[in-house]
Amino acid sequence: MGGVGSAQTVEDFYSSRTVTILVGSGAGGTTDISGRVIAEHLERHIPGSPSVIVQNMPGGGSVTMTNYLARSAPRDGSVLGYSLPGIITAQLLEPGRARFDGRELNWIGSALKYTGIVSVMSTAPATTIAEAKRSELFIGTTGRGSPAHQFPAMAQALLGLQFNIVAGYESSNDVVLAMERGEVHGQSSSLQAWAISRPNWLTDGRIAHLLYMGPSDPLGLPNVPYLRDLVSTDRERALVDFIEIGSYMGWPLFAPPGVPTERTEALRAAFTSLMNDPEFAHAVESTVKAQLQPTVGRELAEFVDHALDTPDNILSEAKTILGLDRR
Amino acid sequence: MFDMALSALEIVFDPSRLTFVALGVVIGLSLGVIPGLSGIVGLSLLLPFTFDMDPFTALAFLVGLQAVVATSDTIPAVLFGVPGTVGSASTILDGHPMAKQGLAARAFGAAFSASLLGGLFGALFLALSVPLLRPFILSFGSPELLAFCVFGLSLIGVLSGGNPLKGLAAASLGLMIATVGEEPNTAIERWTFGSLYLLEGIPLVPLALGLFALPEIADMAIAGRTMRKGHGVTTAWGQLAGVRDTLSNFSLVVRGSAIGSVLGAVPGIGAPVIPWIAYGHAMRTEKGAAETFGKGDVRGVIASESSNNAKEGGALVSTIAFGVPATAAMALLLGAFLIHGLSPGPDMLTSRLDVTYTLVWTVALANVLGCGICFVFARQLAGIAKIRVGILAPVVLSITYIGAFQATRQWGDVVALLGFGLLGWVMKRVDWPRPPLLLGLVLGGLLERYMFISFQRYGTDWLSRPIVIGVFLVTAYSLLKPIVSDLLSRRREATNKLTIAFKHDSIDSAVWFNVAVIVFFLTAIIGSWQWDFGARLVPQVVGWVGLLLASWQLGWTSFVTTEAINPTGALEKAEAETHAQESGSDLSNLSAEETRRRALRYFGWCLFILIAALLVGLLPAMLIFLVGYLRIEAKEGWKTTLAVSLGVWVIAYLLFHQLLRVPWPTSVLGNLIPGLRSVGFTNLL
Repeated sequence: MGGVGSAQTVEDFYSSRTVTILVGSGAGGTTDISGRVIAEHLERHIPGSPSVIVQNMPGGGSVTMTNYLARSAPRDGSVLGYSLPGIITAQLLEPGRARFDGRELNWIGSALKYTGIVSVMSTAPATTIAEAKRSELFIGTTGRGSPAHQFPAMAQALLGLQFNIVAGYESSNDVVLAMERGEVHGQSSSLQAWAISRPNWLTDGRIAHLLYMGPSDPLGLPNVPYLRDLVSTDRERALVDFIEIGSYMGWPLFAPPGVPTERTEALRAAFTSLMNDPEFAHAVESTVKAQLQPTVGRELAEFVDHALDTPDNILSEAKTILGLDRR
Repeated sequence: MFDMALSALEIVFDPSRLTFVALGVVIGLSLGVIPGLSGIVGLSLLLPFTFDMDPFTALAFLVGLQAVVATSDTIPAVLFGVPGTVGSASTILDGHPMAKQGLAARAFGAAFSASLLGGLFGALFLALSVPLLRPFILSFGSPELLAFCVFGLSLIGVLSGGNPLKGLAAASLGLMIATVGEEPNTAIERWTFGSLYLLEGIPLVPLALGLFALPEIADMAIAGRTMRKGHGVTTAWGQLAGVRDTLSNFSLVVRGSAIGSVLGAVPGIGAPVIPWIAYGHAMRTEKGAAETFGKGDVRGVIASESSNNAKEGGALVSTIAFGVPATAAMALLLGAFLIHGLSPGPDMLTSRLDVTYTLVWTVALANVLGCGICFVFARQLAGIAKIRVGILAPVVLSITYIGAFQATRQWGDVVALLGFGLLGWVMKRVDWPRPPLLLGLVLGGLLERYMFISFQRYGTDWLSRPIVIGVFLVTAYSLLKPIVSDLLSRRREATNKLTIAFKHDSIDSAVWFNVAVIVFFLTAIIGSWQWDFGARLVPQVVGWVGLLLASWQLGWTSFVTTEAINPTGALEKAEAETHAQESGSDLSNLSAEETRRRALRYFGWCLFILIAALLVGLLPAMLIFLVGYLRIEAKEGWKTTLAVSLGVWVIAYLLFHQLLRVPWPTSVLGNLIPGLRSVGFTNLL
């Protein structure tokens, strides 16, 4: 295929193809919907305007999809991956499962970042960091593998909070329901997720935000403590760096290893031009209630290289804190 | 509110929307008929096409599709004993025996009309309850959901086909299988053997198709004929007889629908459990049900089908009112809401009540259309069963393979299908009930989840919550009643004449299977011994209980001889019934030797599909299998062989490869020549 590929212009190639974006999550959530919005709007930015379709390939926190993309998918630029924010963290924490190398994937870009925020009902026994060091708070999560578990677990370890983390809920929406009926006090989520699930809670004071981490959120969070400001040593800052990897990557779009360079570059250019498309920005705003925070392909690739260089001692300490050291 | 309902009616009956509802219904019905495909596939495929529609049309289209999948999934369940979707697994229990007795038309008539009434009930429930539902759903915390799961488990007693011991042991198997995967509290990987596929647990679709579809096709292929005489009598009159059955059991329809819509509205119970609960309820409350259910009692079909369709209306409630999808399909629909700029929540009950009522009317309309279409075409569909078995068996088998593969689209699905197919066939032959195993799998994960949350959050205080106490009391009653009466009947036998001595003649395949089950539980107990408490608890408890039950069963069959002096003794009666059932099966006229030989050939072909798929990809393997089976096994001429194989294959190719664009996992051939995967026509290798 290599020979044929290089004889063809990028436009020739894409004008006769359908591009498939494999979304590494089940249907219906933020990952799926933002992936579909990207697919819908990316079409007109790729030379040759191929139709772009979405396929869901859930499992293992996007690891199943990324394994497939890196090992089995055609390497011609007709199949791309769109994963949850934690995909590089997965490579660091679970090298046995993640059968791909982030350094070899062709990063196209990411449109959104993820600001994690731990929020509790205003009626909870503690609504500030100081109170949370004294009073127990039940924090609901889906499971140890998810960022919604890892954020509060890391904050608890670094700040000495009295969190009792209750894992096992089906989805973050189920945790919201559990908060509403008083079963747990709070969860780690994002302002964007709250804007979808309970927009009124953000304005009517039903929830209080304990702290946030990751990139500062464009929706604005006045007076909420920032995890990075609350730690002091280099070791602690390195742990915060580690936990924030997924936040800064956001939801990345990437191509398999070995895709012809001119096509990768064309896809990166298409993505960059998509990020400047007001129609796309509006679609993102109205569907997943988020503001664009783009990272273009080259930046993303550099960030991945940097993240994969996390020192071993920090990695093993993070595993202990997150309770992932026994598997 | 009434004005709103009327104006929503106008919206739905706008000709262009009506067209889309009808289109959605047709697509939904087609998906329901194909085993393994469900509304989720259709919704995710069609979602992008709705981007440019107005929100009403888009939702009417998608909801119309989803509302009727549960209507047509009855068809393969009744005709072949193959569940169209997981929701129709309980329909098989009585629907398929009816078809074998030549009553397919009546089963269809009853199922479709019960589906229609259930669907309408669900729509009504949605319309009336949306404003009232908030407090109801909020009163269901994890402890209440846990109690409901325990209640669900108590149904095992009635699903055990007269042998609670085997039923409970089979359920323990299901519960143990449910523990496969990553345990959320400890992040320990249980029985995953390093496989990413098993990390997420065993998916339901290949397990259900394996347990029910593969054995049914096996018996079809082994017997060499589809069904007993008279199966072809699918007349309009037959269907009307089924409708009469539904109408004369109207109170059962109402109860089944109520179970479906109310439980469907509670997020966390899970759609696959609901028809089983309705079936179990019918079995416990209907007159004489204990004797006739499972042998072709139309009431079993009515209970399952009414609840199955009613749950869709119910499931919409929590999606609309809370933005919490109660089922997987609803999660997709929630995505459609957001894409069209609608925020589920209190708004839907006030400012966007028009949307809510549009959905109500759509559900009602779709059910009417779906039921009508099924009625008209049932006769043609039933005609499928008249096709020669040599042609039918391989076609259904290959569709089942591709269908099972849609669960996660990994090789594991195909392996799981074959593994559970073997297990299901053995269980069928040695007379172990399979529904409890499926129920155990469905409930196992939920049970563990809600148990840990309840204990971690409330300690033991959750046991004193009123709904929990109420549900537990109902559970205790229904659980103890059959066990006590079973023990009493056995004791009566025992006082008659009971000999405890090893029975040499008792060693048959059933005993070997029993021994295998014991070994399985022992292995599981040893394998989970070292795990952290949180990961170990459930496998250990289930393991010991399963071990005890299976050993008890083995001891009973190998050492205890009972002879009822009283000729009307319960045990003798039970034995006579089992015997009657055996001889009623399709294989009675074959010698054990011949049955075994044909079964080996059949499962050899099943294995052949798997190996061929690994070598050249699933779709090409399907073509090779069809040609091979039709030529070699069924000894069809080349003309028929090629016409059938190519016909079926081209449809599958267009549907799965071109339309659904399934990302096929790589085969050996695809790995050798990666270039093939870059070409649209051949990237199925």
